[in-house]
Amino acid sequence: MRGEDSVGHLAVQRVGLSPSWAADPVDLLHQFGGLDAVVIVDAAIGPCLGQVDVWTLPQAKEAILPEKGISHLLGLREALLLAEAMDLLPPFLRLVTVGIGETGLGTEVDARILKAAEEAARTAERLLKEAAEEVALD
Amino acid sequence: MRTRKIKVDMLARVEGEGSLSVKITGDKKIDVELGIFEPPRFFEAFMVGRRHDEAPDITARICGICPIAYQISSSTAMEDALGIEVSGQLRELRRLIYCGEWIESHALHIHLLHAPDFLGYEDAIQMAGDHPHEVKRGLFIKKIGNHLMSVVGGREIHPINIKIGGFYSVPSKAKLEALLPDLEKALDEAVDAALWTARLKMPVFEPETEFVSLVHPDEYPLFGGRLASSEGLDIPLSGFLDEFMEVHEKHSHALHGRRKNGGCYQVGPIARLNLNREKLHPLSAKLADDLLPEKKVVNPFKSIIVRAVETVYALEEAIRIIKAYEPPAEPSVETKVKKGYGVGCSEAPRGICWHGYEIDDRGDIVSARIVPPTSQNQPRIEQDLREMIPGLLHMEDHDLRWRCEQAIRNYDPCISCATHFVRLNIERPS
Repeated sequence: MRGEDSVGHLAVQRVGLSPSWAADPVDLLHQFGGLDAVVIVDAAIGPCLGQVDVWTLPQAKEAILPEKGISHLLGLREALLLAEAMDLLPPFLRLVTVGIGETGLGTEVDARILKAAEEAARTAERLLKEAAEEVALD
Repeated sequence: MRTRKIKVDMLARVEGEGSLSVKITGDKKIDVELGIFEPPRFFEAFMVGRRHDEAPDITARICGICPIAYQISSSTAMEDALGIEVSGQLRELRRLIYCGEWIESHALHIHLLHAPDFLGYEDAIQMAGDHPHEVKRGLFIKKIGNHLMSVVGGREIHPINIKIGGFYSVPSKAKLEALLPDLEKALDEAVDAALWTARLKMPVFEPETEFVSLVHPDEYPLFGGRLASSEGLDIPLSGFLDEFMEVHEKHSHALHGRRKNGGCYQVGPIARLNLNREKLHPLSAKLADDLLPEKKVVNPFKSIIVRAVETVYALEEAIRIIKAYEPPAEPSVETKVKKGYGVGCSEAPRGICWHGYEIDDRGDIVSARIVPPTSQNQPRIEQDLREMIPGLLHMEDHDLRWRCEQAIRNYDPCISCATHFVRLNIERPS
């Protein structure tokens, strides 16, 4: 695990789930099928250490997902844009990002990141609850 | 004299960072530079002094796309140095995980990196809107390849289960058999993909070149065997440095592979097919016969069809290995450290990846030499452009740039691999 890059896994653990290894972001496309709501928690370089933000996909494309030509490893940006192009996105999608610092192999995770993972987990739960209520209202 | 310049500052849909500069003077002189400016990475230098058994995991980090190529080439080189042989089911498991790498790498390149060139899209995202079925098919086949690597190697990127002598642990028969339904489905999809690639409009271009690949008496090559070429070369792996050399060009951080006589050569899928067509399994052999009936494929744009045929082969091979699999009694062959020199070579998706190591009597690495496929193909890519452009001078700059980039992607270049080794010379005032 690469230091604070693991914050997504930490958040998933705090929701009470076991994170599965999905090294390739395009694997997300195979998991979107039939889902009404998806919250993605990911590390972000740029925001302040431990800062938790919530984005819709249009907001994320503008603000947080790195502009990068497609390489052999398709990143989260390419995965989400491919899903959008092929109409595979779930009706409710939010990206929760946590600002991180150290990403070296074996580096310790800062206490602020551990706290932020907790906040990201609670945020994800809240967002999913809101999404469920929206679906119920519909 | 009229001069025309075509520049691509940042090549897209290749692995790593490179650029292209073409200068056309008059209608005859074509200067081509495939600039590789990704920083040098010095793997060969920092391998020196490390333990020999660290080589598979260290060299795997050269590439996130073809780590198996580095793990197998370095493992087999060390085994050569130590005088041991990995055979039977352990060797079959190595072929199996290598199939996973071919499947995922080829599926990605065919559907998401190269196909947009043929269909007129800037990238796969743009293509996905009009061709969702093809993109989904590519992602599905890629996923099956990745999953195969995870099951045998522990994880899909930089697998952790390969070691000198074999594996740290081997999968159960049941675990491998559970992969069969997905592999069978991927095989059907891969056949469709091959037929689809053959319907793509192929630019006509037939340069003369020497094709170089591994050959093996009994199998389509993944690793081991001998090195052969379309010009009659047939040498043991240990003879590589007698026949091939690497030279530095000032416009590139990657060394350029050349024959000792200075000529360029081609490695990769087309070379493999031309030298090993009769070793394909029945389905891939039929596809090759139907879609590539020429005795020798020379048009580099047809690499997309060859990759598709090889994807079918890799799936057939994976299914064959799993059906015949019996877990070996031990996950690895015992190794005993001794001083020596050894070489290994395997067929990365992009072509031969040759390794040579010297180790001392404590098992520490004294010297390391790694020759990846993209550095070998780089002069060939530049030569293709030199030969192709004179016939395309009527094109507008946009279309000419497009064709040049498409021609580069015929080789599926992996720039991150190619820049791992440049030597650093520093001159300081005394």
